[in-house]
Amino acid sequence: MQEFTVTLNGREVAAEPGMTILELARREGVHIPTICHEPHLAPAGGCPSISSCRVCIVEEERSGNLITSCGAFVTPGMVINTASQRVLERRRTIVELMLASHPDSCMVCLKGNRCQLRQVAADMGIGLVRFQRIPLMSTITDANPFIKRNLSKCILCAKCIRACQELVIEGAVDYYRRGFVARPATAGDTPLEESECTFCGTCVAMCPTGALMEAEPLYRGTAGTSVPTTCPFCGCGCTVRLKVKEGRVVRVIPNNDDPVTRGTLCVKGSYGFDFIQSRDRLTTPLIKVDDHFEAASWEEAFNVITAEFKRIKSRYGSNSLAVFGSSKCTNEENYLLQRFARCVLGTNNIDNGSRLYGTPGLTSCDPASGFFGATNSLTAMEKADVILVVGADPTVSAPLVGYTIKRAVRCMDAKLVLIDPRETRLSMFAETWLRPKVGTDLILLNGMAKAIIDEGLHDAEISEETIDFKAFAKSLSAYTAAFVEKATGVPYTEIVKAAREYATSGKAAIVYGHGITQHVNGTDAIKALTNLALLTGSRSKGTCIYPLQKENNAQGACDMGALPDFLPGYQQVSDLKSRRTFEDYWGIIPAAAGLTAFEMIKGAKAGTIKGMYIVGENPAASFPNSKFVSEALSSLNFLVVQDLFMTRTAKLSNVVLPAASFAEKEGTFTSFDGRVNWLTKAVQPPGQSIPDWDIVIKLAARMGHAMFYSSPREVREEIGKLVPLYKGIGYGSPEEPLDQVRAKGGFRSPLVYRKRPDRIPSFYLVHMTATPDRTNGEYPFLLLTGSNLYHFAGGTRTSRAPRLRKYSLDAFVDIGEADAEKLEVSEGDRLRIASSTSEIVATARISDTLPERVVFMPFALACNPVSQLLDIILDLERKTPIVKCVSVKIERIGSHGQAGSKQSN
Amino acid sequence: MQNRSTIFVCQGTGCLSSKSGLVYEELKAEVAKLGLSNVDVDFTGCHGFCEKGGIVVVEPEGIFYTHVKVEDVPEIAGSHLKDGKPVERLFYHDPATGKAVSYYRDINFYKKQRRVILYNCGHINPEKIDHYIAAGGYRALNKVLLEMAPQQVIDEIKKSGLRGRGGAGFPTGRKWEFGRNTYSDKKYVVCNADEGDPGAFMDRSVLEADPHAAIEGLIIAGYAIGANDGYFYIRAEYPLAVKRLYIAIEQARERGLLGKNILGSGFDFEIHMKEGAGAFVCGEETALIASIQSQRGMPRPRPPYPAQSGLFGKPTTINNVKTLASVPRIIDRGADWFAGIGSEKSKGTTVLALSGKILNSGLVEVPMGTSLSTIIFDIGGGIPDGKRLKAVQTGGPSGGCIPARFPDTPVDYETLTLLGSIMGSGGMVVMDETTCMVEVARYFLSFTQAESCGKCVPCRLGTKQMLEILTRITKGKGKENDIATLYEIARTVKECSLCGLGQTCPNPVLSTLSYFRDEYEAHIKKKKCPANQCRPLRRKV
Amino acid sequence: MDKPAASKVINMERIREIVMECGGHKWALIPVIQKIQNEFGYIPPEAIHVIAIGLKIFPSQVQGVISFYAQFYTKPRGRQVITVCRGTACHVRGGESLLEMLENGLGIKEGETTADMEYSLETVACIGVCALAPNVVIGKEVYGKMDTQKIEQLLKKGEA
Ligand SMILES: Nc1nc2c(c(=O)[nH]1)N[C@H]1C(S)=C(S)[C@@H](COP(=O)(O)OP(=O)(O)OC[C@H]3O[C@@H](n4cnc5c(=O)[nH]c(N)nc54)[C@H](O)[C@@H]3O)O[C@H]1N2
Ligand SMILES: Nc1nc2c(c(=O)[nH]1)N[C@H]1C(S)=C(S)[C@@H](COP(=O)(O)OP(=O)(O)OC[C@H]3O[C@@H](n4cnc5c(=O)[nH]c(N)nc54)[C@H](O)[C@@H]3O)O[C@H]1N2
Ligand SMILES: Cc1cc2nc3c(=O)[nH]c(=O)nc-3n(C[C@H](O)[C@H](O)[C@H](O)COP(=O)(O)O)c2cc1C
Ligand code: SF4
Ligand code: SF4
Ligand code: SF4
Ligand code: SF4
Ligand code: SF4
Ligand code: FES
Ligand code: FES
Ligand SMILES: [Mo]
Repeated sequence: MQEFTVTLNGREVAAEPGMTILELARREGVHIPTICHEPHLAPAGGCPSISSCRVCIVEEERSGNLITSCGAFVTPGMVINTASQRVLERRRTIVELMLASHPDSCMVCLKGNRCQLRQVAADMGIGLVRFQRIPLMSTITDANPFIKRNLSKCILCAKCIRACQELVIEGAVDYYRRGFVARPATAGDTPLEESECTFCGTCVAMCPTGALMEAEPLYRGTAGTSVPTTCPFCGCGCTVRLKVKEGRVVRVIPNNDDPVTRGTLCVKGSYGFDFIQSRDRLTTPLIKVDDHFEAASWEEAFNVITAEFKRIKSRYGSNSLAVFGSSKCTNEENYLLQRFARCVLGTNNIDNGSRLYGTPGLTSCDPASGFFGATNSLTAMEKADVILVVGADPTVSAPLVGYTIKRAVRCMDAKLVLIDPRETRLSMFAETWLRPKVGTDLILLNGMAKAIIDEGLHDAEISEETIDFKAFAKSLSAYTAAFVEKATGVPYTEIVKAAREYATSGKAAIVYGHGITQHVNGTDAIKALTNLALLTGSRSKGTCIYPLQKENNAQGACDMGALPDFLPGYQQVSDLKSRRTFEDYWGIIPAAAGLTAFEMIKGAKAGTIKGMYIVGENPAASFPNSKFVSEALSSLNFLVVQDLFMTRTAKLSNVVLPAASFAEKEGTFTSFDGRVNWLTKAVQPPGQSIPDWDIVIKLAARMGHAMFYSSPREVREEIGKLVPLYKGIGYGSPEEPLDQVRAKGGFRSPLVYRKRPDRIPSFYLVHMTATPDRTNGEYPFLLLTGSNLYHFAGGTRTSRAPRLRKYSLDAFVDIGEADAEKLEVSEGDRLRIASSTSEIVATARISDTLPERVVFMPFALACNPVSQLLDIILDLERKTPIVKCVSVKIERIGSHGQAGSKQSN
Repeated sequence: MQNRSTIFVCQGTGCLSSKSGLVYEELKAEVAKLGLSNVDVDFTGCHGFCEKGGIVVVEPEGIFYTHVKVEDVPEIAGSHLKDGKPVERLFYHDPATGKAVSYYRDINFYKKQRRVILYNCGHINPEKIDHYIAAGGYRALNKVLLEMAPQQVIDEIKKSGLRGRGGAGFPTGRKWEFGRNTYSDKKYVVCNADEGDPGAFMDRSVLEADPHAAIEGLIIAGYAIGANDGYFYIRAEYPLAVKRLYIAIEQARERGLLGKNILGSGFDFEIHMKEGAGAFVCGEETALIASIQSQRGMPRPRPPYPAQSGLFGKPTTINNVKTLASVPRIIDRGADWFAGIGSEKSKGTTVLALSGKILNSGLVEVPMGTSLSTIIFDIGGGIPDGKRLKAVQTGGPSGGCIPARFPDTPVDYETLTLLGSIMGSGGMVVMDETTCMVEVARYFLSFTQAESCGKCVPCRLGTKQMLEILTRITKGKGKENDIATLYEIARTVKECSLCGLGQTCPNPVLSTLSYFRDEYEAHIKKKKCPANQCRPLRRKV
Repeated sequence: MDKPAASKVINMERIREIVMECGGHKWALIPVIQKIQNEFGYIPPEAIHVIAIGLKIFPSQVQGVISFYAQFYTKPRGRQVITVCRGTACHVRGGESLLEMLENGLGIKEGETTADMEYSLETVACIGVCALAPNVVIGKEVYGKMDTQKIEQLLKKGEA
């Protein structure tokens, strides 16, 4: 259908088919009040809105009908009046009906002028309600620190229900009962903390009234400014708005304009930002004198650092120095840092947190498919017909990815094939859930590949379009049903079922995480996944691969060349031409690849590394065998740590530099799927702390290397010129809201990101023929580690967010029912967990999600020294430490009630 | 030799509650005992005259017995069946004249009816497909499948002027045409048998007495639209109808009238049963679809209409039981025949459930346009106890009241709407001077308020407010401006609600307000109930 | 008819079976609930999670559906269920006083069950036997043309 005209308030206007009256009115600048309408929610049945509040009614003058503009499409010739006498009267009655069943408490209501109901009522000039008061009952008391419900204020717009069921797909609440007493409720009508609710806060942000509110707000009134920026925790890259009052961030809400996040966040995004204002923040540079730190000026600190680095460089050579870049810092900062390492210190010894913990995913896909990192956008994942999730628990570690997968399954009828020994929240969404023995994924994946080839389900043109297919197919002969079944513990029929589902379902997406990358053969397992992607046509069907191991800017730190072997944009440092491009701007770059993070630590221990500059990483707390790491760092001649907090690593340093947090600076983060998001400065950094980029530039100048940038923007402009992947990045400006920049095409399109069709993909011949059984008589249990929804990474920041800390801080260990029974352990008991390296104490949680003889501990709890237990074993190829599992023994040392230590990393 | 005769015992829900099950068993035993080899004992579904149950009919004579109890069986068997002497005391007695009427066809209640939809009801055994076929059943299906193109079927239905019997009266032919013209790999047809209007039971009677008519209609609808799957959405409160439908579907399947390649035509059709679970609003199309999909039966905005995106997201055409039961008759006897019945814009017949203050309550089928007085006085036998007619409430909780001063009102879609009521499902409650109109409005509203799904504001909160007001008026606590407030809320609920339930539920209030405003005022201002019904306001007599 | 007694332990295995018998997909929720209610007399709240897992929907949604429909019960009901019709015809002919009488006679309110689990008292919108109004349903039997005397008789007889 073509464009047509309709009459809107007496004016002829052009309209397109498929547009609602509300959309038309808004485009034309005509205000229509709405309450229940929410563009991010796409209700079932294809209606643009559920149209339940009815305040958006307008009059269609030809038919004389009143219609809800949010849910009705414009049709040719319509004569719409949005403000006729009749419309105004009816709207008023409707709002008064709501108010008649609503407490009269606006003055004390924390929703304040964010309340849509109050706004609409005020706009209509409604004062006294003429109808009889028929109050609604609200009996539930929620005890969690995040969300409080007062359903006597609920107008049943169902936004919370839809948000929970259609966006984040937790399904914590649904309509309960019907008619006048209907309201949103959890199963069993329990408080939220006893339900599936993950406190993502999405519903709170959407609720138009005070029915859903923050339980423990930092500030009770209305915030002053609203600053768009990006979440600093995981790699999903949710954009948010910081609500600022008197120089403090008092509230965080989703950035509603972001078409990817669509109004959702996770609990950390919604309630984890309070660390910004923590009293623990570093406020001044510190210099260690004897055994304690003394406050110093920047001047003094820079003097000491310059002197020490220069001394070490001249005495031991450039390669005795090393830098940790940071997967938490901005693209601009990492870019500066690697330039600092390469051109100021003169070494390629630079690495970043993502390499530290999981680079296999970043580099190993490359030769086969020509991709670095995720091969497509998150938005594309939702359109997949089958999603294969291997060794990742995105519902916890990358909630936005979790939402996307669940949406694909629930709303788009995609199939989920899940490979995880542990039951996760995704298990209930899986069409097939394979539970291999820990660490046997490679065998399982090869087994699936064989099943696909045996059944002829692979692409017909595969041997012409790829390299090594025949050899690959041949090499799988060892993966017989009997062998695979025995080695992995998964029934072969299940494997075949999964293989068929994966191979025959149209568009496929593969999501993998630390469950495979952090094991000994992590790199090989990823290659096996790449093989699977190729088999059913990474070309023809566009199978997408999404590595999940991401912190907020892990992708960006790597993209920016905070890596020992790559310059920005994955240009080999050993390649003369690549070096030349940058040398024209920066001066001489050393050619030899540097050390990876762990090699640096080992070097420190061995005495080959003398000085280190660690920015935004906390290896002493989160690296395996922390004792060893601490010793190594302590034995350095000189250590500088630049952080927000006095971390365990910082404590070992000679100079501590106080850095500004994400909320206090500008720049960009790159999400795990390649979206580049803005940071906007919302508040002043505390004390004398300044942004990392500023520190690096100042330090470089002090060391005699002037970098002529006066702002992150200028850094970005250079990145836009020199890094093909980020071409054009400099055009936007942080002052502009993100959506506008994106609309202008200032960013590269996320969809074509990283595609390199010039390469011919090749199969890998990767094998594993023996199952590693790491448990033994002395250490009979296998301890798995993984993410904890309420805390992040080393927990440095989240343990300083009061609400997250309050809700979940104590170190716990999940233990299976059968094992618990054998050990006579009950819920809440204190357990001593010992490995060959060390021992720790944690509280038992009985769980039915684990296979026998496997226990689980999250690594992100601040008081949780789980990394102590691990020994340092590296993935051979990528030099990534194996932090996923360790064999332990378990002993009950006390019954429950004895609280854990509440310290911070 | 005497002719063979059949004695039919009514086994509809109504008569069964008058213990006609025992009568049937007893009759079989008695007939066997007496060795009456020329008498068959069989049963039928509802005759629509349940009040007089248990009903027993002897065919082909057409002797009609009422109030038959198990104790009467020996006499019927001995005197009538054996000796040929009908039992007069069990005949229907005309309430006006007190005279006994022996024959079915002579009973006034039936004499003025025109049974198109209820054609077979009470005349065949609903559990025997052969009875239905012998009465001309499945002839239409045969014709449709073997001789007519789908478009021809639709044209025929359009020509007949058939309009939906589910309440809204939408032209069925046009609805089918939408369905046919929507392109999709899969389509559905649904028979809406959720009859939830309190006071209406015609769909139940049809399904209990003539289930194949609805089945045949549904298959024809499927053929015309291009759907290969049909659903019956039926109230679980009608267990007998459910059971008979299951039996009928099974028999139709055995005869090859359902399944693959029906009658060799190449047309496949399957029927699925879904039982409701007690929610009036599920009669609304989108709620019904949600309910078939096992969701909460909450209506959603339209568009998209079910014809575009309905059951499981596919185009879906929904018709009422009576609409579908009319279809085979139209095909069989021709559109012109059907169009010849009824009034200008409302063709065919309407089935009404006559109840309340009336002598003959029961199911009444009359040509559209029959006047109220014919229905109430000629068929219904008038008002008992010499009371005067005050008003007639039509259309159940979605309908309104027509005051006695319009006795000549022709009962058809247009006229009823004009008078502020609706045809609706066909409920017709007769009220005499002892009925309080405020209380009637309160009753209907209490029903809709309890049945509101709660989704949209005007209906969820507006009905509650109105009910509060009406309740306090009937308790003598009405306030000065209550009438104005009622009007205001009622209009808002009517004009702004999301679905038909909310859009029509103020009708009983609005129509009583406009015709009987004085009664409201008497309650409010004088604290009096003119009909002396509202208990707190009752005069001592 | 012997309806299962209230205190009976709920056989979760059987509930899982029912879920599978009905096809195990989300469209089967209402048939599953109906079947469970037919067998157990009500929907044990602890079945909700089992149903949810089996049908791959959320427990809150199962509860949402159960709580929407008038005919689903989450509490055990009495051995005899007495249902008073509230349809128009029954109302006009005094259905309400029947209800009151039963409430007084049994000492429970509409929607409740006697302490000895003998009787439950319920109402229904309409059972379509309007011509015999007022109606009361006991178990599956419809009792038409009820009046207060007949109710009294029934109550006395112990039949209701
Ligand atoms: N809330 C929260 N989110 C985070 C973080 C956090 O600390 N907290 N950290 C962030 C960081 S830094 C990263 S790198 C990512 C990591 O996020 P993910 O890559 O998702 O890693 P994990 O959380 O460790 O989850 C690993 C999953 O793999 C499973 N698994 C363990 N062993 C095996 C195995 O042998 N085979 C298979 N198939 N599966 C196995 C585990 O049971 C677990 O479910 O999360 C990020 N997101
Ligand atoms: N056993 C076990 N251990 C594990 C894992 C496991 O699976 N098992 N997972 C590992 C993984 S994947 C990871 S990524 C690590 C995470 O472990 P860490 O890298 O320790 O993560 P964080 O606690 O986030 O700490 C990073 C530091 O950066 C600082 N920071 C944040 N923002 C800024 C900034 O803008 N500027 C500066 N200068 N500093 C900033 C924080 O204050 C914090 O001290 O843990 C690893 N540890
Ligand atoms: C609240 C409500 C209840 C309804 N109940 C019924 C019903 O019980 N039976 C029915 O056939 N139609 C009912 N309808 C009408 C149907 O939605 C629909 O219009 C009808 O089934 C279409 O069939 P028809 O075209 O054959 O009339 C109801 C509508 C509403 C709004
Ligand atoms: S929710 Fe809104 S209308 Fe209600 S008390 Fe709070 S501010 Fe006022
Ligand atoms: S709690 Fe808030 S969002 Fe949820 S239905 Fe009520 S008013 Fe709407
Ligand atoms: S906070 Fe999130 S998970 Fe909890 S009810 Fe709201 S939307 Fe659902
Ligand atoms: S932690 Fe990740 S998922 Fe949660 S709000 Fe931040 S970016 Fe989004
Ligand atoms: S009008 Fe009533 S029944 Fe219909 S959707 Fe609204 S609340 Fe539900
Ligand atoms: S905003 Fe349109 S009905 Fe609520
Ligand atoms: S049931 Fe026998 S006449 Fe209605
Ligand atoms: Mo990580």
